[in-house]
Amino acid sequence: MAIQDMAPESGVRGPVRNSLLYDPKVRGVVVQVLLAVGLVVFFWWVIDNARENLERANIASGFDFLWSRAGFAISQSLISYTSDDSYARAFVVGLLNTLLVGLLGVVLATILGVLAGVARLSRNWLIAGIAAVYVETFRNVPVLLQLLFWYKAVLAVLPGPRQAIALPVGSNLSNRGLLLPWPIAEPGFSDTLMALLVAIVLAVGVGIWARRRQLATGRPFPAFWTGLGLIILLPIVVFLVTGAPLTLSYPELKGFNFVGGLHIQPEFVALLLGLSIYTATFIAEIVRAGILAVARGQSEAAHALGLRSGPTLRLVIIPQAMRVIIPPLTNQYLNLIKNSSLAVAVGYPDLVSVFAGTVLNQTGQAVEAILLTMLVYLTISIATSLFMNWFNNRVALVER
Amino acid sequence: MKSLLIPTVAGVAFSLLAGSAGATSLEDVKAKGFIQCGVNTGLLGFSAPDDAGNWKGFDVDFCRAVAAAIFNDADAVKFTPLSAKDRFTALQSGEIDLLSRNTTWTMSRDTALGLAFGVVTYYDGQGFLIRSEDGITSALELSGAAVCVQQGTTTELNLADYFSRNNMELNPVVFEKLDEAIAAYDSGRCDAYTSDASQLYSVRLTLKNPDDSIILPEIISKEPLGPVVRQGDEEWFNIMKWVGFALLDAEELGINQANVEEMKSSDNPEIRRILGVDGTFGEDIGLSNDWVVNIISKVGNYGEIFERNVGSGSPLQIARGLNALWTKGGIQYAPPIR
Amino acid sequence: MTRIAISYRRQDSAAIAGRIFDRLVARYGDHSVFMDVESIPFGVDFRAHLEEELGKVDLLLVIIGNDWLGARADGGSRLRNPADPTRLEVEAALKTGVSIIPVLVDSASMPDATALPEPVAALARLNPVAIDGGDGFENDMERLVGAIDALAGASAPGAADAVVETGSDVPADPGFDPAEEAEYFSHRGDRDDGHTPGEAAEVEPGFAGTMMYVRREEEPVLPPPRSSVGAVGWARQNLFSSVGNTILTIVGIVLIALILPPIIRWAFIDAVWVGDGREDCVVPGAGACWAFVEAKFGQFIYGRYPLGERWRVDLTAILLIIGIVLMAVPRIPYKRESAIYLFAIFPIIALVLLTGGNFDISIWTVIAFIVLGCLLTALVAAVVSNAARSLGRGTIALAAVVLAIAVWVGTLFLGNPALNVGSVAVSLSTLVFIICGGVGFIAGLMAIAGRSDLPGGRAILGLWLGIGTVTVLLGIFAIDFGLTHVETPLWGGLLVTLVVALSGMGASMPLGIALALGRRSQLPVIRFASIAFIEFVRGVPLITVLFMASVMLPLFLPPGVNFDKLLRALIGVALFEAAYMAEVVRGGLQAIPAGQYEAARAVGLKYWQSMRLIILPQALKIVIPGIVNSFISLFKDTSLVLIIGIFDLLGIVQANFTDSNWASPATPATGYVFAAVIFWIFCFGMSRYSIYTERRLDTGYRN
Repeated sequence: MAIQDMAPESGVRGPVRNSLLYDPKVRGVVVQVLLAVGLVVFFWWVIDNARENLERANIASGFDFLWSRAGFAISQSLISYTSDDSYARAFVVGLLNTLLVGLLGVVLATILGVLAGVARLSRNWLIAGIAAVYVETFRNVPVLLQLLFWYKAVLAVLPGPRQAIALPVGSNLSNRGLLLPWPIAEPGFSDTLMALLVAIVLAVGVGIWARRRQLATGRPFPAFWTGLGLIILLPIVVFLVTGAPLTLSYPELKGFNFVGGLHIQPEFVALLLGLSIYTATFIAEIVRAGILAVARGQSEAAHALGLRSGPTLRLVIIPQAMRVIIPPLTNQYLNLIKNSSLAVAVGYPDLVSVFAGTVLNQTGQAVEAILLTMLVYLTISIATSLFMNWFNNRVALVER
Repeated sequence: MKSLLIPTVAGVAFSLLAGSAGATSLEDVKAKGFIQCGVNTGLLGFSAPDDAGNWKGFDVDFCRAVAAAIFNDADAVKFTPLSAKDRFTALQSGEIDLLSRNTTWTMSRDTALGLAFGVVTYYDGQGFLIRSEDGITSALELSGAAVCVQQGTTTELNLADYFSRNNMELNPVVFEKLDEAIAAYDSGRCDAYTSDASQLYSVRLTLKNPDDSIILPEIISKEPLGPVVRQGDEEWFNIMKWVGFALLDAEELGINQANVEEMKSSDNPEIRRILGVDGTFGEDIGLSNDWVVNIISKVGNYGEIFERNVGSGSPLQIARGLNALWTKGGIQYAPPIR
Repeated sequence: MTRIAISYRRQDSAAIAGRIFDRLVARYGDHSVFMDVESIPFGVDFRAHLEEELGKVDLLLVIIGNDWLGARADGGSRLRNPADPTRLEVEAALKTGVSIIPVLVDSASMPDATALPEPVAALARLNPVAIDGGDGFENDMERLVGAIDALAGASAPGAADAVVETGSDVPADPGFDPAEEAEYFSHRGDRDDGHTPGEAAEVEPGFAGTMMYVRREEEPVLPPPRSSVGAVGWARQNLFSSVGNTILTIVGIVLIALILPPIIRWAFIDAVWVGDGREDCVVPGAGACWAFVEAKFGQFIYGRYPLGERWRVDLTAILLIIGIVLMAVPRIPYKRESAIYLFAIFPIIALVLLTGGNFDISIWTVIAFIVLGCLLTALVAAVVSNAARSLGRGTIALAAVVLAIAVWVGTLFLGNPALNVGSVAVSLSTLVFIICGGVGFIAGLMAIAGRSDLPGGRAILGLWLGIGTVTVLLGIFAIDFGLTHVETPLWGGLLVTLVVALSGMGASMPLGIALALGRRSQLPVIRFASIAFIEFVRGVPLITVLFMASVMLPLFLPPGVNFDKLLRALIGVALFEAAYMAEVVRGGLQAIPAGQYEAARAVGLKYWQSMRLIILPQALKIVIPGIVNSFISLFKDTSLVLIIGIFDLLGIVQANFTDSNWASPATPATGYVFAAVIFWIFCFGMSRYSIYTERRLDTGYRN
């Protein structure tokens, strides 16, 4: 083939210059510059307005208010708190309350959700039907409504403290809450705790050693039961040997209320119940989808290899289902923690109720209070996102 | 002027183009044709809607008095029900012009929150509502009791102070909404409910068994209640103040809804001043000279408002007590209009 | 086992012989039928060989066609040739005494004895069987087979009366004992056919080795066992299939027995359905107080909307239902028109109907829009004309725009003096704006007038269309239709819930799509801004967003500008939902294979075109379940506005608990149950519709 002569013919102009309007690079830069400038101007204008309005209203600014005396009481707190403490301490109390109800809610919701999800997949029509009715009913009703219902249902049904329902082991139930006997540690108790710690370390060690041995020689070892036995038995033995240094404090009715024991308030119970039951429905659906997502061929192959249904579930199905279940599950945990902010409707002193409610009203500094509250939730959710990214990368299927 | 429901960018541009709106509250109100008044969501006797949706109560009547003073029409007022939580932000942001919601005059509210209190329409104090079957006769026996209280009020703070001062153990049960707090007390969740004593009378009526609850004799705090406006608007502030004082002065001078017209022809120079026959006191605060005539004829004087809403003419049956005129043994004492 | 040999002349009847051969093989087996004698080895007397071979068979079929004689051109016949294989076969068979059946094919007739040579003349005396090559083939073959069987069965017992079509005397095989054979057959397969040994077997006339016991009728169909059909069978399978299952079933029944009867008793049997006040509901033993719901039903649905104006709400609801039905039912056509109605026309009508229209829209707003349009026109014209080097007027337009921006920024920092123009006090900046706008507009238009090759024309046209639409909208809102103004604080109940939910849905979709596209954008500023917004909003609870919207929004605006409280809540909800919608749409965008993006670019579509025509339709279709899920959770989240003081359904139900007319122990529970049922109906309906749509569009991924 002859090579064409690539010399330009006469009459061809230089490179055609496109209109600036259509050059993608220029367009991109212009758009970004406009957006950046627009955002800057917008935020500047908003902040300026806020400053002006706050000045006009003579409201203080800044975070100094955190160190002034709070002056109000909080009905339940995990750390000691009196009305003489600062707003900062009230903040911490609210935060701890949020984390408490969040963690317990997560545990409860997971248990209930897994049960309901597995039940819905059961071949037993009745159980599957009950689980389906439960999931469909509680999923389609707003969580706030459920919280309020539990609160009024819990309260309305229970009798007053003088007519409290007596439960075994010295506990009782009334509309002041659930009162349980609470152990009080005496001086020798730290030995039992040490024993517990040692037992946990030993159990982990046994597990690692057993796995190594199985990988090397193929001989299995009941590491799980050994570890469990260690964790249960060793502290008990130490406890008995050191003379059982533990007394129970029982709740007793003195005057208006009960003194002693562990006092679980009905607001907490209502919040916990409502949040757990609501979130459990979503977790049930996630678990069900995860188990269904594992191809049927997997269980068939496992059966063909001779595995019974127990080991099949444990070694083949669940690890694969986890990959599908964990990301939306963490989302639901996050939702539960965020939904705990509705505690203000039932009177439970969580972070939003204490800080963005009472403190905001007492000091009038709305911007700082709400910003701090949002910051806390943002931190929790970003931490969860990071964990999820790490987890996803770890279990991601390596595909060609 | 109806509020702009569609704030567009142009609306913002409009605010820049047409010049900043530096109007005072009085001008705004006069342009609007009504006062936007913030009241309680439902406190019988102070501000509560009746079955037809009309607002009635002591605080409501104060708003109507101000409306009568400005427009000679007691119904030129729109009510915004507010909880204790958002009453101040509503006032600060300009959503309402006047807050008449059994608000306690405190120093921090007067200074740090940018609000202005001027007149005390109701001298009150904090008390406790308790069930008579508990056999308690004094608030000092309340140690360990669960007490229902509304969030974001001085009540909450006073309660904590009182209990810690007397070394009593406090179990507060805090609610955001008033009706939730009352419902919790009614259902037995709390042993006691604490609030301003006037509120306790009102609340007791709404309980399932009103006769089972008593109000303990201790008044543990001073709660001077009154209307509130924003700081920085002197004219509007004066109007609020002097409407309150006018109501008291009118009662002191014996002017009431029935006889205000004929009082105009009285010889008493005080009466003539207050009713605008002599002097220009009305115009001095930006109203017409017969402002008090308008007020009294449309709404009545302080005593009439009191009796009609919370006193002997109402289910609450609260005695005048501290709220009687200074000449009758109370502490209601208004500066003269001269 | 009978062995049959077939003799035929190839050129005479090869085809039909083959068919007969196949049929006989099918009947008697491969090893019983022979068609061609193997080649005769060299040096062997072929006559003796043939006799030896034919000695091994029991029967010879001689296929006689029309040319069996083998007529030759010279008048002779091949059969006359002593070495003719066919003649040899027949001769040998006749000699060895093998049974012979002549088979006439192709409508041939038996040659008479005179035509046959002497050694094979005996053939003419045998009774032939005629086989028709056409439709009668099967029947004739049956007869032939019957003849063959009869021939064989003549030596078996019980077949003495069988008709045997044979012309020759067939001596019985000495080793063949009929009784023994029958005995053997009677036990064959050990089938219990009611037969006792020794008794003559009911065997079909046939040969050993090919006999089977075949039923003539079908076994009657029995019904399945009683324990596996009907209710009992279903119960056994589903409820009681194993011990564990049985225990679970018992637990389930106990659970139901514990929960269901009290609920039914409370809600239906003991409930108070009719009443006037609390006395009717405080009756001891009363269940739900439905009379309360009936009495307050108007408030629950409309809030405190004035009684005389409720027809407006009803009308809006009817229009909404019409729109939804048009969009949702797949069979109804004109989907695009329905979409325009539901998403563009209906909101305007609803807004006017519900609020009453007649907004005070200042003329300044319209002027501001027009001035903005002029400035933008000037900018576009300047850029375009500068690029094409048409200076002069383009520069003037650009200068006008720059001056306007400078003045605006300046007024943000400095003051804003006002001038008196006639009787109206107009601020300086306003004047400058209007002048700049006018000058820039004229200069810009002149710069690009008459130049049809410049690209910005369509943009400017679109801009002015947009401005025109906005002006018309503002005009509609400003018209007084004679409806009384109903303020939003009076709205409440289901009305507010639906308003918040639908506005949230409508506003969050485009916002969410924009955010999702922004998050995937290549431009760093846009991507950063989108990610920041999405992560921030998704990380905080809705209640803090609502607090921010209701408490802090007034602080962020210039003093005097005031927002309606419901509008603040709407904005908060819309922004919150947009972030979640962005994540859902992003999932859809990620699920589209990269090939689609590349193909769109290869075809020459620009970014927005490819998004609009290729990517977004696919992405949105994939994530329809996710979108509907978002909508359902938005609907449930609207109940949170009660915390900022807006009375939606839950709020107004709760507010009515304090009505002393109806205070009773059952009132709160009744109210909550009623609200729960309403929410449940909406949410469950939406989820069912989503499943239905998913199935119809086949977007569900099956395992």
